[in-house]
Amino acid sequence: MCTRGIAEPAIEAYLDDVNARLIGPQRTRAAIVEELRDGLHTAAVAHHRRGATPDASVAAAVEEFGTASAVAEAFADELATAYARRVSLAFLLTGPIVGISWLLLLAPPDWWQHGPGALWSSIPALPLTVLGVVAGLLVLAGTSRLSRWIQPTPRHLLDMATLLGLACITGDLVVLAVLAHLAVPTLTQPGLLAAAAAAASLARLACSIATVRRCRHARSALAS
Amino acid sequence: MRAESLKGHLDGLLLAVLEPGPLHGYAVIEALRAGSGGRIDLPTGTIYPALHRLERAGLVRSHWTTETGRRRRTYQLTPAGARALADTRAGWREFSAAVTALLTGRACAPAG
Repeated sequence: MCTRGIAEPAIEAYLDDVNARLIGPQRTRAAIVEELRDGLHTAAVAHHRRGATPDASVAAAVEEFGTASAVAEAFADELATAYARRVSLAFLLTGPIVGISWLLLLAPPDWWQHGPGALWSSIPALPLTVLGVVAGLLVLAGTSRLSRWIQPTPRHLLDMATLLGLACITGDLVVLAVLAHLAVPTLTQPGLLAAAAAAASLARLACSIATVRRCRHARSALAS
Repeated sequence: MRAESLKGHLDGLLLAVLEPGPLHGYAVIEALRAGSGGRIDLPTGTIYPALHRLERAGLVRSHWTTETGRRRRTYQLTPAGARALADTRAGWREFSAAVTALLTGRACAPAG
């Protein structure tokens, strides 16, 4: 049986409904829909071989898969996990770019001779960086093969990703406030670097706020 | 058989049906039905996320192929999955022997 043609709109309408209810990274959602599409067509063919008409075969396949909301709910944990991993990876990979900009701008000259205390007092966002990195690494560990042993819940992973986002928001606001307080002419580095660091922090600030919101949204989709 | 009765055993069942060779998602569902004589008929929506979770844990791996114009994801057991399946089987034998002994009133050999 070819399930294309008359059966195709029913399957596609069902998949559109499922897709609209999935909350998570676009690429992961697309892969889920693609896999469900193949499964539905295969199920419809199986029902047709047992004697059902093409329409009845598709209806039976859709019924077998469950309602769109049930399917979306079943995928919520995996999508939340994928989202937490993706945002943590993005923050950890782009973090050094923002961090190095601020280090070059705010670190006192010869800070390595005065120990980490000098760096700590010049860049007050450093503890938040440490907190964010730890949260991000925990998410990466919990979403990797290590999940076999540490088994974090998707809720915990989203909470860690939210913590990472909040650390970035607070850290960026702190360094931007320091920059505004010092005023560019008093800095040891040229204004171009200050502009680049501020732009990087502002861009990350916008991303962090969006991430925290999405994490909250994804968390609300998880079964309690 | 109700889905709640299988809670905690789904991963082992999925690894077992993948042991003979690679299968796509719907074939895994059919293998569960066929292998249990139709007694295990889980909601299809719960099987795909479970396969994804097993892949994330490194117990199965998947690859995409294109068949008759449609993309298809096929799953296969990894060496870590095969070891996990062996552990699951050993645990199940011990568990079922203990439960059977209690339910039937026949003594069970002490664990050792």
